[in-house]
Amino acid sequence: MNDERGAFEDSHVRRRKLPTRDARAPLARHPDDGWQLAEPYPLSTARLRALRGIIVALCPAAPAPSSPELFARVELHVRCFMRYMHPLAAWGLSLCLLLLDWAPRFLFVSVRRLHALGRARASRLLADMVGGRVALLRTLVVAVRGLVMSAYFDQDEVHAAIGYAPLPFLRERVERRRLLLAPAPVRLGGAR
Amino acid sequence: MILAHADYARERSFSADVLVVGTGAGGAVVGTELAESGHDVLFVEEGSWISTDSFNPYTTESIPRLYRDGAATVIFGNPPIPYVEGRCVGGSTTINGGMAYRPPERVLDEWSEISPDLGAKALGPLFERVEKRVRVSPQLPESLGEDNRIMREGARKMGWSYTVNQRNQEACVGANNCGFGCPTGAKQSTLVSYMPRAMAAGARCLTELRVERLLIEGGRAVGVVARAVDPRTRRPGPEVRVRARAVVVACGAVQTPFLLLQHGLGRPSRQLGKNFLCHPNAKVVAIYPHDVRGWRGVSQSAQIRHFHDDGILMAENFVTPSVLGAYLPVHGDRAWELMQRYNQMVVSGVLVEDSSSGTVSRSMLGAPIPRYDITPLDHRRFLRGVKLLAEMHFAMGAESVLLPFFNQHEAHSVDELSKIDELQRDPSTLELFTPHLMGTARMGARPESSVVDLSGRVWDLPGLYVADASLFPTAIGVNPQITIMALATRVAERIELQRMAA
Repeated sequence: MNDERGAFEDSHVRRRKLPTRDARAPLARHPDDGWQLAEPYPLSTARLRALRGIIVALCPAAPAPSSPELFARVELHVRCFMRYMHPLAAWGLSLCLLLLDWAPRFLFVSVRRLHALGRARASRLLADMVGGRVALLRTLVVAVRGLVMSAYFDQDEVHAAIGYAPLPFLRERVERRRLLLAPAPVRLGGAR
Repeated sequence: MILAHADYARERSFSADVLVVGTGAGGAVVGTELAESGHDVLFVEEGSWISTDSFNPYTTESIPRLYRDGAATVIFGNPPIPYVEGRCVGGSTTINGGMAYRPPERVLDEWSEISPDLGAKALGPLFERVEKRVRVSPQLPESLGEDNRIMREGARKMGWSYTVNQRNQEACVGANNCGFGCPTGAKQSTLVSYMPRAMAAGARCLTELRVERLLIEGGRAVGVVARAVDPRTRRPGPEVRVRARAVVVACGAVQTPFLLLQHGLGRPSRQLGKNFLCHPNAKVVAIYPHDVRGWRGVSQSAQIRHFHDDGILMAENFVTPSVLGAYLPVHGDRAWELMQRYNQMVVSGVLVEDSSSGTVSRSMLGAPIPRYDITPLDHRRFLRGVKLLAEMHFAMGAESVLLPFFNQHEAHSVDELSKIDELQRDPSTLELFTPHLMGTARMGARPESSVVDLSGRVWDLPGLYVADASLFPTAIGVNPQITIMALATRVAERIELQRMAA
């Protein structure tokens, strides 16, 4: 039954959308199935600077993976995610980036903006805001933190560093199920 | 025939006998049943048709592809509750945990007071039909992982009953990627169970098309107006019109009332958008001194149902590092310190059956606004459930437990759990989440107290039906997909009967 369904998907979906599917291994990132990831959400220079400052403040420092190239990927993913949000939510989030960047001044912590505070100090300030009594600030930080941490902990080098290796496991499970559903092998010689 | 965004550049007008908006537990079932009865069925789905071998374990791709609004959706209230729902062919069945429970007897008894049609006797054959179609069965023992074993042993140690889950699966081998689509094809979401049957029966599916409004002519629903979405910019593209003799809306308990409210429907009872139920749940993450590797084995193989009569369910529910990272109450170096122990974690949760309800309304800016407040009773249930679950983890040897309170993140011993009552005096400190949205277009026998009749037909607009979790008259206290499927089967039967009568 399930093989029939697979055949159905082949005939109705893959043939039309997936001419180059053999180019990539199953389960890999960016499967060639015709689906397109949206372009990064457009952000002004000020908002982009704010986002970059927040990413550095939220992500862990070395010895955790923390290269500029990794942070650039996190930024890209956050901005792509924003394209999928409700337009009002995405706009609100981009405004939130600015508010957080200006938070050190609003909270009389520093005359500098968040992106210029330095990683440790900016990180502490964001932690204080989450633990603070102002529900709005807490919600703003929690929303942005969720987005950034989600993108950070989805990167291959981070997976490797925490000992998470899903691909070999998933491939083994796909194969195991295929064998479970495969018809029993025909016995040569036959049973008597 | 399956169309996607690029196809609407040349074809923008369609017609069918029955138009079904949505392909999740409700839409796929009603459309399939009708297609197999000989109706010309056309599905309209906002998401894409993502095939089984495109699923992977990466959040940054799976969430945009499979979830509504990049999963950045929230129920407003005290506390705010993030929620998720599927936006892809298969809807939330593509991304759920695959639990397949009928509602408890007490719930169906309550429903039968509304009408015998909603009682256990009348719904029984419908449950049997859908359970057969989505292959509801217990898990294979070899699919279980170490976190499942810890939960089972923990429940035994505490003297609690532990129920092995019925899941809609065929030879599930515990890939534990349910939330991002099952890459083995074992989970019988409507993507791999109902939809292929519908297509084989001649149904058509227009994907990547968001319905904006209903077409109403002569006081009757005759179709929908939809827009394609540009995949690169996510901006609305060409307008597409679909006409049909019957329109079935199955967009879920938030989007269905959102669509219907703009037409001023639900007038007789004023219940449209009311009775919003969401089974909020809270995560409890235990850190053990040894490796668990919870990602190697099925998610939610069983539930602790010992406290079900008190409205509390507990289960293990493992998630990827990315999802867990987003949920952590800390960031930076402390988050890294915790996540280095990812392989030693057991992620579990407490689900509370709603004792109250919220609303879904339309904002002037064109977005649905779900609202829901945790009642004092549910707050007490959460505190009790979290304490009990944390105690169980400590009894099993956990070194620490991450708690779902923004002002109390962690406990290192049972003694520290006693501070919960002292510190958690208000629901606002709870960190909750939900994937179960229900009840905003309740089904009933009388137009004064319900939005749709027992056939799923909207009381005040002929030609328009609802077939999703909106129909639930009350919360069911268990995972809702099987109940949605059963009610959708009922809606399909009634549409067929009405056609024959005509």
